[in-house]
Amino acid sequence: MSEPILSVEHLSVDYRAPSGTVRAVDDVSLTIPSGRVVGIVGETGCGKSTLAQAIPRLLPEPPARIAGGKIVFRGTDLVGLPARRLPLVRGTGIGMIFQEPLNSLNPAVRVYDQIAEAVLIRRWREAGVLPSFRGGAEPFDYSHRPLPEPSAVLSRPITPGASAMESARRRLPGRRDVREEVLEFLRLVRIQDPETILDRYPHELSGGMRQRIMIAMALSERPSLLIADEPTSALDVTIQAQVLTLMKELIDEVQASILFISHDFGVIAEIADDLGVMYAGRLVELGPVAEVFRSPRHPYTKHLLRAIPERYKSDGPLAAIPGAVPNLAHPPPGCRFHPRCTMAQAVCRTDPAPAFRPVAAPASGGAHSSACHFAEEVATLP
Amino acid sequence: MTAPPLVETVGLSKGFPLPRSIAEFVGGRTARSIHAVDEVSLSIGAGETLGLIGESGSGKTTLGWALARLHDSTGGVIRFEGQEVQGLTGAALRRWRSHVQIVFQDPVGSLDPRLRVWQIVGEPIRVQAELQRQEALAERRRARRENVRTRREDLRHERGGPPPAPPVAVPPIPPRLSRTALREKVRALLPTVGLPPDCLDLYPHEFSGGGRQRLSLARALSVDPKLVILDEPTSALDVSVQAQILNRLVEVQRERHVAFLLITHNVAAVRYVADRVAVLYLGQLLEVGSVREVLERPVHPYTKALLAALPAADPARRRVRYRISGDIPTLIDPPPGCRFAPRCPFVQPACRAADPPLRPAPGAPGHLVACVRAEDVGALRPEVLLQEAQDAKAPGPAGGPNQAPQLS
Amino acid sequence: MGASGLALRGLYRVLRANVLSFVGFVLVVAIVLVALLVTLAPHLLVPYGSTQETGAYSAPPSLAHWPPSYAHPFGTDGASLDLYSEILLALPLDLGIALLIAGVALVGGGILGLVAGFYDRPGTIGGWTSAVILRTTDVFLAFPSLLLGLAIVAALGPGLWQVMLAVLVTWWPYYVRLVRGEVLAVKHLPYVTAARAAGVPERRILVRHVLRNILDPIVVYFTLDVGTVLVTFSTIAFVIPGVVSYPRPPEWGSMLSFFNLNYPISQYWWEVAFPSAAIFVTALAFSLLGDGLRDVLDPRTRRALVESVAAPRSGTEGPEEGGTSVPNTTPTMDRSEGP
Repeated sequence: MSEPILSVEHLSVDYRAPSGTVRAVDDVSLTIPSGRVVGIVGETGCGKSTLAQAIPRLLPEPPARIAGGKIVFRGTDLVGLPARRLPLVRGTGIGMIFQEPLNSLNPAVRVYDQIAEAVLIRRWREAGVLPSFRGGAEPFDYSHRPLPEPSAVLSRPITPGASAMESARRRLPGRRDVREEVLEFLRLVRIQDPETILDRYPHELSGGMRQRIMIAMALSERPSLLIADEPTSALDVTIQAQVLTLMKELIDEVQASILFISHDFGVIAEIADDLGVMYAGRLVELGPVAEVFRSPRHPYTKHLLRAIPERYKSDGPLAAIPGAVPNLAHPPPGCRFHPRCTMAQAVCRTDPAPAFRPVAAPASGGAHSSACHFAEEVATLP
Repeated sequence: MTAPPLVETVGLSKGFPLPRSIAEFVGGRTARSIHAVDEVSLSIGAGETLGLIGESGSGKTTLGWALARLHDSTGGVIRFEGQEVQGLTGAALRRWRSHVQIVFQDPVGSLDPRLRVWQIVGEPIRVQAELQRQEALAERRRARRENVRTRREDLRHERGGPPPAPPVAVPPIPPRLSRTALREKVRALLPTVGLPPDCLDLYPHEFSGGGRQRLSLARALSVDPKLVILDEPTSALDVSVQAQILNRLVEVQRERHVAFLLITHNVAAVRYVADRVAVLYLGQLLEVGSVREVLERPVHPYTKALLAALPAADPARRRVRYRISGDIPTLIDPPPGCRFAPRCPFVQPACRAADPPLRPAPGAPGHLVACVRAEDVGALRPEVLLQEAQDAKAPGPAGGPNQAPQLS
Repeated sequence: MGASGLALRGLYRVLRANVLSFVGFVLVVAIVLVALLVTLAPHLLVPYGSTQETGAYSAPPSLAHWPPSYAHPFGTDGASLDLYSEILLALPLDLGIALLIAGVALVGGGILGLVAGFYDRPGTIGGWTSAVILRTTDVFLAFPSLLLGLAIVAALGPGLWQVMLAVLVTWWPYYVRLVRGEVLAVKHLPYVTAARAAGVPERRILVRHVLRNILDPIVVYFTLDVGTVLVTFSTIAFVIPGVVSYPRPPEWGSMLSFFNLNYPISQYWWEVAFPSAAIFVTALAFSLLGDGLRDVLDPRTRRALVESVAAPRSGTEGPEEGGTSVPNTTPTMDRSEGP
């Protein structure tokens, strides 16, 4: 459509560890158009979780630090926002779903209250009682709060009378007023008989149920962008299939833009429209998902696709990638993948940042980019 | 299969009793228990790999530990090379442990962080050598006592008593395993798992996850076991490293003719490595057979459900809708009958009447399945559990009240 | 204990990085050295000899209660004894008392904690033993240590050993709890099960695998504890006048008690200040060292530390599927939470 919901430009995130500074995300640029699902795949240490948490600025700023770049969400650069304005963007602007719902749901709060809290925040923001985020050049909109006349202020009684309290209560939705909406969202995530679980605590429910509640909480604030950080990795296979089915249906119904992080190619293939591959902090490939699977343009992607047992074709041993993921504190010189790459050349050892450039024009539109000097030759790899 | 299997279990059960509340104690109720493994009978042949797949709560880890005698089973028989071993204790048990070893899931916690590689990998060797020495010493003591008695009888014979028995030979005592000898043994073992031989003096934290799993594997192989139980060996590893470990397992099996019990939830790994596969659900064995049979022609509805749930790593083959609903229920004192009945789309009253027996599938004698409806629904493909968009309104397969929820 | 070998180099670096812990380390080393010297070669440090033979000083009373001066840096007390020498002479005794009490509590309580932790399986003899140990510990822990100590001294009568016993009796339960907690945390880790699976007998598992891996937090606690023991002992010696007789054996708490009772200390501030300072500095030194040790030995910071000390290995060469020597990513290796 018109303008992308999210545009990350040359973002770099550093961690200050006792042993030195580690660059967990290095010069990553990607855009999420409205209504698309962008999947990011990678192994340990590739920085995908850091990226996911850096976008809504959820990383604790010491020891993490945004070392450069911009995060443009609906026209506003989040890197430049002062810290106290950031909560306004989260929830109704950017929603998040985490991996382990047992840790992400408050164990001391019942299900009803957790979702009600999310709904209320949205309702209060819509009613103008709380400041909300508007996007664009003027990110914050206070026009809902008209300034009172001085004479009205002076003549108002100091303690509000009964009628004032009544009208205030009627104006704002409270905890009990949102029950219908909470039930509606629970039904949206396909929970049968949601009335029965309203009074439960998270630990009384199963993993699949908890994950649905997390999704309900995230969706109840109607965010423009949803970031899902490995939402199905902690679930059993059959439950994962249910939750993925649910998410696909919801994407159609709700028209959400999603940034979906996973280490599992299978899950990404199920749900993503575009696929980005990260390695050791850098984004090495990005393109439409069918394109990337069919003809990967980066040797790492190609090797990885051949190493997963799900795609094994019964032709000899599984094609493993020699070596291991590098330690980000001591990255290899040059391209970070070159020690393990079968087509590494001299330039790969010297150039630390091969340009992330479009290397193919897929038929479905968009671009297929890769950060490899020899992207064209990747197709010839076995 | 003419040769007797290496390991065999018959009706193996393992339950964990729950502590009774005061009310239950006073009321005289017997303690409830978690039926982690319920009457499982399976076998592993020498040199073959059996994959054990299941989701959480299936009891696959408990079964593996019970086979390794790390748990005391609460019922059933474990036979190792024809001998019953479920009752072994003490030194006999510790001697037997040289035949069955285990590799754990957690690469970080499996290795003592304060010991060096040669100490970790060499520990089983050292322990078994110690046990052999103890046995030899006991044997020698017995032989000496025997000889003293013989000598006494000899003297008696000289005075006109019966002839004595011949003296018993005193067996030699194997020497203590020296540190150098142990290190050499470990050094010789490391290339088998793909580690450089000069890392004897390193600590576990100096290795990556894949390296640590190789160390665990080396430790397991150090006493030349006949069976190695691998409990989710690759779950904590990156995809690229998983492939390395899986390849290594195949090679080790080829070289050493060791049997593997591969416990995992990763069906693709089982397809790559295993010869036979067994499917567990809530402690019950639902299906067992060769990998090709079970994974390509699954008979039990749960196996079909499991295979249908696997995402194919190919965007061209996206599934539309997964029709199995419900979560995995509790293991505490389950009701009789098939454990999958509450979620099975083909369930019938007969399923809940009694635990379905494990019997051969129609047309495939080596393929055992525990389903009373094997004849009529057994031939259905797993894809019936996925719903294509066009037949969203079409009714599901015959039988079973557990229809998947309708699209709203 | 090779992991500690690696940690020793790291220990030095961290102690240097954190000023306070380095101060603590230096102080403790100094205190121990001084204690040794005072015991073995008192003439080196104690200006007035080990028995303070005042000799020519014994006659004139005018040397009593002299404020700090060049000849007597800490002043003198009512018996014309040089306070500086007295304090130094008391140092090895106080230090020894604190270390001994804490050490015996550690060993005794530690053994009980090991048993209560490792052999605690419901329905076995070990389970019953653990239960007995734990309940006894709970009973002792219910009493405030100082009050219990005073009560025991009241029962046993005065004397150095009696006070030490009193403190010891109130001290061992903490170690039982500490050690048992650590054992419980470790005994279910996979490497313990792996040792069992290899056929290692239980007692050896306890010593080789469990005990060696819980030493770190115990060492830290012990170091921090020495100061507390010292303060407690001195407090009892202070609160009960004459329970430890002064001037022989010299001991800071009894010193303070004696001065407090017998001399108008509002006029002679040095007689209170310097013994108190001695207790304070010694306890503080051990506290700082303990804190520094904790920072070093905490697994998270230690890993980063050890990595900075160990040379990074290049994981590029190796066997065909090698790369095993590449160090871990910092700080967590768990795949679910990449950096």
